Amino acid sequence: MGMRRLWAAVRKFVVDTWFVFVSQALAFRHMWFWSVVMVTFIPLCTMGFLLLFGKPSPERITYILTGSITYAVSSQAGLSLGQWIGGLKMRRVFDYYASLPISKLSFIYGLNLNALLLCVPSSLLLVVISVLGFHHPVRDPLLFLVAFVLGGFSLAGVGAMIGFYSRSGQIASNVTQIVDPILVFFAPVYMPEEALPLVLRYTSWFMPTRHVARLLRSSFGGATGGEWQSIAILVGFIIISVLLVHHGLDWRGDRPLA
Amino acid sequence: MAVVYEVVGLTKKYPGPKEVLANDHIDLRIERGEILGIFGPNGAGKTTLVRQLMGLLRPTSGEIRLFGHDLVRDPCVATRYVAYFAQETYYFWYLKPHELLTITGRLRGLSAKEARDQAQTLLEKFNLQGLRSKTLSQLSFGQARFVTLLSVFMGARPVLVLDEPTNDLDPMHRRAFWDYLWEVNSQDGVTVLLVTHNVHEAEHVVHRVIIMDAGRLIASGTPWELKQGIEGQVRVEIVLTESADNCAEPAFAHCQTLPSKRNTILLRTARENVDTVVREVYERFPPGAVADLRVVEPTLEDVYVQMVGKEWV
Repeated sequence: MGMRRLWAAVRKFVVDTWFVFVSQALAFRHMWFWSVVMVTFIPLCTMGFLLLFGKPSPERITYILTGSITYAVSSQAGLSLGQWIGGLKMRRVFDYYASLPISKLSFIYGLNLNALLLCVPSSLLLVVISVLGFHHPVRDPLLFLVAFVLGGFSLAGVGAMIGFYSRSGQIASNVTQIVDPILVFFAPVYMPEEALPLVLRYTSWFMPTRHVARLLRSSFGGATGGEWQSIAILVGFIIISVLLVHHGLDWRGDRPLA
Repeated sequence: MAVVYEVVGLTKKYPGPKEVLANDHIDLRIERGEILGIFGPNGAGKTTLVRQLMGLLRPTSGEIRLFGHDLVRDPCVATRYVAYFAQETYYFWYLKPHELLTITGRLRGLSAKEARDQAQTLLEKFNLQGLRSKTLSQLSFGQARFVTLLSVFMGARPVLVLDEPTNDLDPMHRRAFWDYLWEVNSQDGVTVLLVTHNVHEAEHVVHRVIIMDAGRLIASGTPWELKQGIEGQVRVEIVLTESADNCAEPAFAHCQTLPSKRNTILLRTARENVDTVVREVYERFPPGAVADLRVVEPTLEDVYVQMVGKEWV
């Protein structure tokens, strides 16, 4: 009986998450192309810009490529959730979802899945550039996939909190744009850890981007050990996200509308 | 009769530098199968009230019970029993009609087949199958709004909360909607909470009315009961061939002058004064100046205007 109830709950979660995803994906069907362009453009430009300077050693290229993919995943799949939720709140679309018998987690992960899929083309493009331009293929596709998915979901909680608790959609957008570069440039994403100031070497442990970038580098350069540690930390971030969303967000409560 | 909602001492304050008292000790009981009209001017607290009844907003104090469940403690209960149509519905513009209906049905817990069948039935009932391939953005504004409105019927919830449902609908769609609302109410016993500004239109639909002003419930009763308050009075509508502004300010004996419209003077008077007023009108204006003159029974709108004391636009 217990297992049957658990199965029903899991099934409902998956179905609800899927239909939140579908509703959002279709609601933005007119913007798919430009959303993909937007997600691709900044990491691509950053990569091109960084490649212009310095010696293109294999290690440096790996950092720049994996850094750009990390940037795409963290900013689009995780943090853009804050902007997205802020926008939904501003248009009072929250009331539509909050009046349906779905959980907050289904809502958040439905949006998150949508955002994650939008950054698939940009990540694939970066991989293609890596293979064709630098003869630098992904050696461990499974690890690449794990890093991509865990990276996308590990920041969902932060994005959701920004979106829910910002006073307006505009503020959510501003806060997101402040947090976004902190997560990418204050952690060893585009550069080795030794290049960072000492304090950032320690604080970056608390940033999912550090671990996503590390896993992506391993997927390009071959495992060097310690990947399980990064995977465990990212899973930890996801668990914290789930707890934050489940206990910290009161979407049917006394929240500001816009 | 089974009680759907029981509201006791419901108070909602919006905190801030200037605290706003949006709902002030509201007591309300809504029974199964009722269509309850919630009327009131802008800012009266109607939407705040229904958002609390939907569990979308937490009351500052007071109790709300939905089918006996404590809605304040467990707001999610509302999602199992109530379908909500909010004022702002312009978000799903790029969904197709059957997509919006089916997705809403699935998210209300219907199986794929049930959602598909219910969506199909609704679209067929209102001759909307021809719009299947178009997104709402490609329909007229009223059509798109109508399709969005139909989504509240997905999942056959026993309670519907409708916030300004017929705004932007043309008369045909309005008629179709009210007829269908009556159908689900009379056949399935669906309870409806209807927030609207269109008192005149809603008068023919609602069983009971509450009127709100400044966060308080100032009147409650059937349309007939409320109209008893101005029993013995009639409204005289004088339609002039030219704008009433061009005429000298007409003051008629024994009459209360209501806010006039462009070519129309509205008076309220006791029934026994009608003959005198009609005579006075034709004496006051030159031949041909009066295009039409009607004596009508008071409407719910008149009750509303009298109670709220503001012009109804």
